[in-house]
Amino acid sequence: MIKVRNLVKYYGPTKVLDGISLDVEKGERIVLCGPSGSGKSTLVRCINGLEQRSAGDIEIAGHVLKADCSNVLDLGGDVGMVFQQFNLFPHMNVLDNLTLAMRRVRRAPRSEAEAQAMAMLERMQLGARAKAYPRELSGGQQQRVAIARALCMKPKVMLFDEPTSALDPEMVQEVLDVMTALSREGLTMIVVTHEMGFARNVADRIVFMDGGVILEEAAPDAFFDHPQHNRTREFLRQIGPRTH
Amino acid sequence: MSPDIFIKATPIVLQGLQLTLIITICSFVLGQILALPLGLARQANSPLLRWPAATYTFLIRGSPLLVQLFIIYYGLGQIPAVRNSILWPILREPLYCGIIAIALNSAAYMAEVVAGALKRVPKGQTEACISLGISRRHRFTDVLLPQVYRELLPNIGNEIILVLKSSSLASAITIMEITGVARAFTARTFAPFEVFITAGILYLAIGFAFTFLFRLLERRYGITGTRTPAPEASA
Ligand SMILES: Nc1ncnc2c1ncn2[C@@H]1O[C@H](COP(=O)(O)OP(=O)(O)O)[C@@H](O)[C@H]1O
Ligand SMILES: [Mg+2]
Repeated sequence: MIKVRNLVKYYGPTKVLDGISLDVEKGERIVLCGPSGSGKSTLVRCINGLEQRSAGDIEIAGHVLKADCSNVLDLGGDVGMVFQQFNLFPHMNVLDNLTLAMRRVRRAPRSEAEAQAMAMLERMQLGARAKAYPRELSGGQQQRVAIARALCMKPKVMLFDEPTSALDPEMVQEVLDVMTALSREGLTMIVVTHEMGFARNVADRIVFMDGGVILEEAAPDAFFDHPQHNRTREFLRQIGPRTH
Repeated sequence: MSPDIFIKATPIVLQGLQLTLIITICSFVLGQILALPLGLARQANSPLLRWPAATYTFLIRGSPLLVQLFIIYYGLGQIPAVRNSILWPILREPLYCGIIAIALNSAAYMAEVVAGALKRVPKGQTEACISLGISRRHRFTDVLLPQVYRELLPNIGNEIILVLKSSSLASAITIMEITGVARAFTARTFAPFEVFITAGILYLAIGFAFTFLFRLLERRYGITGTRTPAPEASA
């Protein structure tokens, strides 16, 4: 589903990704973690073409992404992205946020798009908020709307970049619950998160990044119980109190 | 100062009202229409778009409107190519020249404002569009520009007042709008104070009406598109 080969990314003179290779199978759930600044966001953003890469090959959901990202729109919603800052459209109500891409990209008629969006909102327990504007919602609700918006495009892959980091603590769980439910439906997911409880529950594989390289990848039990590298142990110790 | 001159001046000054409104509204609308492509060009990636737009706004904003009015009305007519062109019936008319000059001027100012507002839209909006596969065109028409124009409603309301005030300069190219008729009337009555006070009050009243209209628009379409204050969120 995702194939990354020798991905290198420079910001100016700084090498931020230093030869990343990663394969993700259909239905696989990956949690990507690592210290701040290790390149997690950059990797995810290169994978879905939001960021141009300096070298390497990327194939995702059946699309070969060009190095200059000129064909990024061909992904056309096949690769859903959930951002830390939600990035909802502030001038549209929740329903319009969900239907815009369905109507413009998938060319669904409005009535069909709205029916589908309402069903999605019901699933997220947001049916009552369809006519609300983003700023009228809590952070947790906004992030669930953002997830619903991406899901409406029936993506083959979903990427999450720290989806709960901007939330008040009491709202983290409602978003994690939605993501856990998704993971049970066989959706291919890459999740950047520091929520290690979620990682242990949901991930098929945990990928640990540091300094622009993948230092270690393993199944959750092996990763948490027998980390191979000192950097991994140090990282787990630092974020330890948040694990459960 | 005598009250009956005020009473006599009022119907005279009102004769200019129609032309003032025509000039203001036409210049304003034309200016807004031109400002959009100019503003888009102003913040485009390609220098081939950016530089001509930057040059245009520099020239227009850097020189007095009155001089631009004279150039368009008196100056262009001296060029034979202009006199022989299909545009001559338009450029021969002082009213059209006035509208064009004020519109070109307003467009230059608005273009800068539009470009600035486009740059201020958070990058995440564009990224959300790309990740949803939304085309460049729809990114602008459905996501970026609606946010820009909602944010700019107060600026646009302000711009129509500036255009209204600029319209008084049209009297300099023989147009008998409010200021024009006021000037002609003072030449006959030698009561400039009363006549121009009357004209000033009329400008204030028109400006007040425009301001009121834009307040209504702002309330309807405000910055984030919400009409009700945010209620306490509940699932
Ligand atoms: N737009 C940018 N310009 C320059 N440097 C950047 C930019 N974005 C990220 N970086 C740098 O790249 C490195 C990796 O960043 P990032 O991928 O955001 O890390 P993470 O998501 O793991 O915290 C950091 O050192 C960061 O400062
Ligand atoms: Mg990050």
